[in-house]
Parts: sequence; C-alpha cells; structure tokens
Amino acid sequence: MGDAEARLTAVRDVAAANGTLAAAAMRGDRSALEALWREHRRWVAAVLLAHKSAGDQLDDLLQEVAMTLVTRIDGLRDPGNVRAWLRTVAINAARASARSGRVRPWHRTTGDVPAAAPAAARREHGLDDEAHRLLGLAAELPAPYREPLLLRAVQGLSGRTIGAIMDLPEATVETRIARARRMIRQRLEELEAPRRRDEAAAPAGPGFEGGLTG
Amino acid sequence: MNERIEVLISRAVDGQAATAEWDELAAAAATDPDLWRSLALTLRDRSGFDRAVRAAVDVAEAVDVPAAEAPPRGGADFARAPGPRHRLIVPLRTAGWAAAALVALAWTVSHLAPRLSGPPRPVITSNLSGASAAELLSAYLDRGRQEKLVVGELPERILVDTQSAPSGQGYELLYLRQILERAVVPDLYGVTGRDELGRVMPVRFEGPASPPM
Repeated sequence: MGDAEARLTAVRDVAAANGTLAAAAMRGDRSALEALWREHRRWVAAVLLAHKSAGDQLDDLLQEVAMTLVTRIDGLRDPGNVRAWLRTVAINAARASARSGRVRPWHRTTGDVPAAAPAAARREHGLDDEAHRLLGLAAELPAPYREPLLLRAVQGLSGRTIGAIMDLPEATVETRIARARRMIRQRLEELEAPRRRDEAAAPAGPGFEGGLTG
Repeated sequence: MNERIEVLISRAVDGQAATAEWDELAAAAATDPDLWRSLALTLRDRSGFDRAVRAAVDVAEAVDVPAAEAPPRGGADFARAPGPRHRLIVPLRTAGWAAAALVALAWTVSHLAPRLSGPPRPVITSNLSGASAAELLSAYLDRGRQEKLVVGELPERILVDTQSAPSGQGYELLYLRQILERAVVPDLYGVTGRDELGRVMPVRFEGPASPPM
C-alpha cells in the first residue's frame, strides 16, 4: 500500500471511529461523549486560538464549546462529520464572545497571556518569551492562513484531515501552511534586521593581528 | 523560491512529504543550494512554533465535558433538570432588577394573599368531572380573563428537558408554560435592605408623586 493510500485509510479509520463515538454520544452514552471530547479538545483549542479575540480566555471558550457539545450533539446530522461541526461551534463561540465585548482579568487562566502581562507570568503559564513572540506573529496572519498552521502545529494533522475540518482541498491547506510559514519567517527577519545591523556595525574586538611571532 | 518548492519544504519539515516529493526537492536543490538553508530555517521555525502552540493549548487538558449536576463556569445562569440524561440547557439570565422584582412580588403576594383572595371558596367539582387537563386550563384562562385576573398565556414555551419517549418512538419534552396574571396590591415592597441581624427587610416602594392639579 502506497503512502497516500495508507494515509487515506488511516483518515477513514479515524473518521469511522469518530463517527462511532459521535453516534454513541448522540444516543446518550456519557463515556462516549467524554471520549469524544478528549479526542478533539486540543485541536478545538487551536481553532479557538485562531479565531478568538486577544482579550478572551481560551479555557472559558473551551468550556462553552464543551457545553454545546453536551447540549447539542443530538442535533448533529452526520456523526461522521463531527470534526467540521465542532469547528463551527468553536468559531461561533469565539465570534460571539468577541461581539459581547466581555472583559476578563488576564490572570485567571492559562494558555492565553496578553502582551501586557509580565514576563514572569508568561513563563508561569508555560510560554517563554520566544513562544510568546511566535504566537504573536501567528496572530498577525490572516485567519485563513493562521488556522491551518495552528491545526498542523497542535497535533500534526495531515492536510487531508485539516481539509476535512475546514472543508478545503488538501492542496489548498498545504499551500496556506507554506505561505503562513513564509510570512512568519519574513516577519522574523524584519524584527531581527535592526539587531543584525547593529552587530554588523559594531567595531571588531581585539583579536590576533598579523601572524604568530616568535 | 517558487511556491511549489515552499510547499515541498513545508511538507518535508512536517514529515508529510512522500518519497516522490523528497526526490523533487533534492532535484531542485541540485540547482539551488540555498534550498537546504531554507529547509533548515523552516525546520527551526516549525520546532519553536509547534512548541508554543502546544503549550498554549495545554489548557484544554483541564477542560472536561461538564457534568450534568455541576453548574458551568462563566457568566451565564442556566437551569438544569436533574438526572443522568442529555439536557437542553435553557439560559435564565436575569438582570438584578428583574430578580429583585420577582422576589418583591413573591413576598408581597405571600403576605397579602388572604386579602387578595378573600375567604376560601368551596371547590366546585360538579362540572369538572370528565374534563381533560387542557380543557380545564382553557376554562381557567377564559374565566381568568373575565375576572381580570389573567392577562394571557405567553406564546413562548421554555424547553427544560428532552429524552427519548418511553415507548421508544419520538421524544418526551418537559417545558414551562408561562401565564401572565395581574394582581392589584395596596402596597408594594422591595427586598433591598437587611437589618443588623442580616434578615431581609422589605422597603416600601414610594411611587411617583401625583401630577399637579
């Protein structure tokens, strides 16, 4: 079996498993519902990260999505399409929260630290300065590029799986990820350019002049 | 660097590239040695970025599916029906003034009920035998309107709970029906104060001054 066929089979197996879990959850199987959420919550968090506003807390939005999963799963039309449904729920939650203009204290949650937070707090939340800078650069990307990049980063999801989630062709997903990386690289080079210029302009330190004597 | 090469590099650093794609990349690198530098930089960027994203979403590990009995976090108030079944949660967001008005009305009515309803009347049962609950409710609404007690029933019914029907076909619904009734009271009190022992103290509502003659 070739690489592509093996990946397709793997995706189908996962879809079938998810469809089975979703169907069981729709019938009221609590353990299936919990397993379904555990299976998907990390990439759902990545979607929320891609679409939420800066002031919103990731764990609060996750709670809302989890609540919607509990209360609305029985309305899911196709159990095999639970990923796309969860993505829609997550995006709606992020947008609704942004529209509501709710203000929350920055220190309440982990996983999302505003730029104004002290460096010590960012480290406490598991994000060093470099990680924070990279996430900030990702936040500058247009959403169509940001989301597939985050989905690839969080769980190494294949282009086909991301395409199924976002309803995009696999080739489009791969192109957007590549472009997103190029934009981040260009932005990093812009940010690092002043430092490089300063280093290039600094006078050379004392060193060996001429050859060895003796 | 053209976009096709960028996509190949991106798939290569993600471990998604197939053998043919690696061959294509190697062939392109034969004429563009800078391609390997781009690959290395992309790999470095990806490593740091993936680490950052995974750290940021680690919070998801602490978010579980809410239990049926536990109230949700966040600012909304929800009504839940008990039992280990799926719930359709109905938000009952009430502003502070509305909640206070409900409490005030309950307190006032409970204190003034004997004056409102008068002495207890004997229950008339002769015309009720054989009538269904729906018929009785309809009769109550009609009679209530005549007596100026009932304003009407709100068309919106609040769904509280759903579950599969006992017969196995269809669904069983639990819902609230809302009937608007009118009451005329001599005094109105608000529950806004507490005495030194912390007991709720009603405060009499002073209505607007009468218009000048």
